[in-house]
Amino acid sequence: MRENLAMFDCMGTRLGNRNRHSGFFEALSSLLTVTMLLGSASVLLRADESKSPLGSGSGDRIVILGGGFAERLQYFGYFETLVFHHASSREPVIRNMAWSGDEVSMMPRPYNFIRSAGVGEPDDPSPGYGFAFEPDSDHRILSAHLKAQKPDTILLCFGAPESFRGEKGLSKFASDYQGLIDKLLAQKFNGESPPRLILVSPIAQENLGGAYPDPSGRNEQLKLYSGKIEEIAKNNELASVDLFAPTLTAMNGGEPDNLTIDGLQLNDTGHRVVAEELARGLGITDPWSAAMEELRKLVVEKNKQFFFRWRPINGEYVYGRRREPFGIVSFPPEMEQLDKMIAELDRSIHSEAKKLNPLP
Amino acid sequence: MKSLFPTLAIILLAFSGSAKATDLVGGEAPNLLPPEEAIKHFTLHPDYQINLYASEVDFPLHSPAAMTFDSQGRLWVGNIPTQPHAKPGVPIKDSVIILEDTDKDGAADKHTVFYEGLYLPLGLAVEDGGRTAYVTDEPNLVKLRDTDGDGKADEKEIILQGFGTEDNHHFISAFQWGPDGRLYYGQGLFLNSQVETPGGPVRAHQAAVFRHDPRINKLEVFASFGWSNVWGIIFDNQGQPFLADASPGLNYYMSHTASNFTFPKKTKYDNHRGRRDKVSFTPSGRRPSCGNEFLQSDHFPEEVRGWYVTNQMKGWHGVRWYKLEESGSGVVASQPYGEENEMLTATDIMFRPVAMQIGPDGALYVLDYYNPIVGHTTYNFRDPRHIKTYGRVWRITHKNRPLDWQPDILGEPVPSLLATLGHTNYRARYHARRELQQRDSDDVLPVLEAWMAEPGGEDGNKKMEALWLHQNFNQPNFELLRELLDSPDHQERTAALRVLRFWQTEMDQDEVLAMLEQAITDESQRVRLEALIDLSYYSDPGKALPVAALALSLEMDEGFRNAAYDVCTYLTGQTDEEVEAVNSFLLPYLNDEMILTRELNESVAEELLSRPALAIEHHRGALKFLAGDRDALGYLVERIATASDDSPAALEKLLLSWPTAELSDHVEEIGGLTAAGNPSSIRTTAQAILWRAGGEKILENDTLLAQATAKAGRGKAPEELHAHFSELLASESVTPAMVNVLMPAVASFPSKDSESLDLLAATAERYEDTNITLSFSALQAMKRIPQSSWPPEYSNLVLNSVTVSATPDLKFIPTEFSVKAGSAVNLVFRNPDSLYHNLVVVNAGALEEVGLKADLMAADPAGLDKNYVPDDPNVLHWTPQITLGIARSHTLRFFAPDEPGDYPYICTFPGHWRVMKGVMKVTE
Repeated sequence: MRENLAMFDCMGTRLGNRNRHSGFFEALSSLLTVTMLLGSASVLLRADESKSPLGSGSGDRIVILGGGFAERLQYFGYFETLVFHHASSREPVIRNMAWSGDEVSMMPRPYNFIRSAGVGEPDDPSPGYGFAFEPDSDHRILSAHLKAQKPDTILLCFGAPESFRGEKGLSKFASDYQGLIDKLLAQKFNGESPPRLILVSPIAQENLGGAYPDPSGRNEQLKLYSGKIEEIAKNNELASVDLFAPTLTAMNGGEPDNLTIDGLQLNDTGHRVVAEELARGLGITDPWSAAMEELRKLVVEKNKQFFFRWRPINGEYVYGRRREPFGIVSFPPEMEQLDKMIAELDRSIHSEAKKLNPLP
Repeated sequence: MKSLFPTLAIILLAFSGSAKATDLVGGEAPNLLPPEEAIKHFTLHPDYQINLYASEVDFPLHSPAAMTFDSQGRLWVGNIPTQPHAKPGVPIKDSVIILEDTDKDGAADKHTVFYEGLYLPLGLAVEDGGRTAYVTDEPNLVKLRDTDGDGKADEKEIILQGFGTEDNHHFISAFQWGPDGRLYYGQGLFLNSQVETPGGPVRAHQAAVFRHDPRINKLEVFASFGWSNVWGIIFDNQGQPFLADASPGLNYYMSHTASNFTFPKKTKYDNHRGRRDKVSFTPSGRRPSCGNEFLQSDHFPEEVRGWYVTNQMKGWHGVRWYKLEESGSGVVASQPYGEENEMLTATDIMFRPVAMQIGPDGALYVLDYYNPIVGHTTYNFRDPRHIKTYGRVWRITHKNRPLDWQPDILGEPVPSLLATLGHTNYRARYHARRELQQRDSDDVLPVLEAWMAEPGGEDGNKKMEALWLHQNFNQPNFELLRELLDSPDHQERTAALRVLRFWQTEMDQDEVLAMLEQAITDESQRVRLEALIDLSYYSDPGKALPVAALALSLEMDEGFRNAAYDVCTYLTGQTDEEVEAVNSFLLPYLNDEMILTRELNESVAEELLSRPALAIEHHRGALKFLAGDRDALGYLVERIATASDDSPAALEKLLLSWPTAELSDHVEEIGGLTAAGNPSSIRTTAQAILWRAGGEKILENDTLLAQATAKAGRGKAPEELHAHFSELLASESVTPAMVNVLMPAVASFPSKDSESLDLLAATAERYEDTNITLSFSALQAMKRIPQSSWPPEYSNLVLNSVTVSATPDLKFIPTEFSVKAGSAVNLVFRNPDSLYHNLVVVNAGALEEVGLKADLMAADPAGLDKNYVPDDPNVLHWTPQITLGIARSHTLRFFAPDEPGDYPYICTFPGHWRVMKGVMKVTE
């Protein structure tokens, strides 16, 4: 890497100040392209890979949707790391678009958030002070953002917030989930085919003792909703992964350490354990190893930059009611820059994954 | 990130600093003063002095925005150099640092960087002797832990996700530990939060205050209201929460906003906007109020002790102080030294006080963001004047009084901590309380019991403190609660009810209802307020509703009414029970559209009659309903004759519109209404009706006769009055008030239209230079006369009435209007926004020139005083800067230019003109 740095310095000087940084970018990308070509020369496919619900396409794009559990995956990166490691030659692209509190039929988004996708315009761009969000019950905003991300595969991690409604909310949950599935399958986000959907159940709630409430009632609810999710998946002939039962086992002594910080939200250990479980459900059997740590760091950084891109803070100034006069000047070029950075991080992830797993 | 992966480092570097240079808003280089110069620009009340505690010169104070002391007297500061927005590829290095004054000379001499690598630590709370900090790291709330005691955090954990970030400085901030051991913080406008917690998802929409128990990650919405940007939450010695709303500069007694009527139950955010000024205890127009504190230590002399202080740093820069006294359900604020003698006034406009707290020595510490730019809307996000390397902490002390040091707290035995709960420095109590809250309940509660049984500790609020400790440990002490509810001290009753809000679910529900029934009619409005809030949390809304109604017949101030509106609306929506008193109370809050959907009953009918702006058929329906079997006109006349209202406008309107044919039966009663002693508006209406019914002239007074003539409509008053009115109007000695009354009267005689037009046109001209309002009224009066009677030479004497409004997305509505050259323009500018805006009409083609000059005024300390209106001949007409709380509208009266063309109108608040613009088209 030292040599590479020196090379960039030369380039920078030669190109002069004006185009200096785009010069950097081009140099970096061509360097990595060379690396990737070298890597892909020795690609071999595993025989059983076509069976993975994640698919076997090269450059497949995977989007993760859901509530707080799925949103939190991005900060830890274990699950994605296992996928990248496993499918190193196929260079998948993963985008976490989960949002804390999201439910299958309620994904409230800030007004004008649709503009952030670059596809579609808001119904009412200037709603005054009435509401700060659109509930997006018809998934119009979600669809626009999916169009922008072109997923081949979507992991749906819904059900935890809904499960607090217990038995009386179950049938509405099922019909709303069906509605979401129908809506997604009716579209071709990648331009060619409807997305491959994978339904992931919520995890169990952990009993941490002390002042924490006993979660046994909660786990009854979660079990109910997890079972319903599996049923929905079967009815629609979709792949599904049950995280509830294995996490309950792990929490009940299967694992020596606590898996959550508060019964609900996974800690670092919990994320590792659940990532392996989720990966296993998708046919990925290689467990986490310390050698993957640098890959994981790249994943976490990629997720951070993607978060700044699709769901930037200061949304009112980036795409919202106060984007004029200054947001429209500052942000569009910076968003382009983020797109380039994210693409660059994708490439670095692929190259690091191949280093770790050259013969998948 | 501690060790950056090499590839990553290169990518980040390659992308940093490559943002394309963008157009900057005009403006001079800021004049940044070193601390020793800046201090010379402060003026204090003569008894006080200020010194520099710390600055960027000696410490890494880089755009600091949050501060709090810890139990050891160390000052924690959150730096936000990333403000206003992270730049792609540039590592985010916002930090939390700790400043220490080890030799206790009033200036920091040591610092530690606790953690670096946060995104906007706007909220900051510390516990565990500084081993744990709760900090915002947008978009999350994180917990930082120093596990090895070296003063630096080595663990960062995201403990809550899903808070809204749509406007980054509206993110959760103003962290404060409550007396109940929970962490309170608030979010502002535009934000949609959806946080998943072990107890379920918590959703908040727009401004709200959260109550968070980080021990078990339990989160709830504590209060919600139409605030813009919560930037200060504090609790007084009685545990009463106070809130500072930054943008509009308003301050609140928070119980007025603390009902269970929260989002998504509450969807009408707009309902609150109209009440913000009324519920605030400080006057409007002093914005923004960033940070708040009580001067509650014995270092401050008795005459100011306990006063409420809040910062202000736009337009006027300094620390304002208010004496608070209990009043009604909340407090009343006064400024005994006058507005010109604030605690601290700065003429250096880079001074940006954003937070404040009483220190371990009892002095007041003020955090200074020192920056040319605050906020987002006025400057480009990449304006280089968003400086990132300045920041100060100032310390204000009394010149002649000893300091009021807090005793040792960290690790002290429980009895000495309990003793500190009565300390004169109220922050000593705050830190001692937090220390106790974190101990094991088995170590604290038995000692507490013994302490309660002994004399002593009466300096503080002994029983309240005990109750709060029980609350903190989630070990309710119902006996103590009952004792306090029956206390002769109304503050103890108030405090107890604030705890009952949370304990009631664990108690016998009949007993709770009985407690609330007793409290809801308490002699103290403060107590009644808390009972009302508790009722919104009661398990059975149907039973709570009639109890809440009992409060409505007692005295209610504006704050109480706000809470009553919220509680009654919420409870009514939760039950099928109907309580007439509640329905009547809520009726005035319904907008016209909503009230028209209500079934007619006596209260609804009375409410309809109290709204003169409604279409008259609704008034007719209401009157008919109320009249019942009685003759409607007779009933109407009787209502008017006995009205308690000085001007029952809807009733008069009804009378004036009554079919003439039906009037004759009631001429006598109507004549009676003209009697001296009745309000003049009723007397003139009666005279007008009489004329319509063919009755005679009863009134004698010229003013009243003129008013009656105008009211009667054209062609109803006796013709001989025209000559009399014309003579009066043309006379030398006529007063402006009389002119106003006479003009519409003169225009009421169809047979004299030609003469009247001449007289009114002359009157318009007569006052054109001296009283344009009167001149416009003359044009208005001319409109009474049909156009067919107008001679052609008056065709330009048109009065154009135009309304232009500012919108929350920095626009004008409409963006265009047309007027004839030389015609009169009555332009009403409205601003419902919480930002400052004005409307300036400029010469054709001069938009850019005036706009750029306005931008330059951003650097002028007196810019706001000058309304950011440049001294430029191209400025034709302008309104002052107005905002919610100052004025909602301003009227411009002018004559359109004689030269046809496109005349832009803009808002000259620096930066706004580029998008807030429209065109007045002047046609031939």
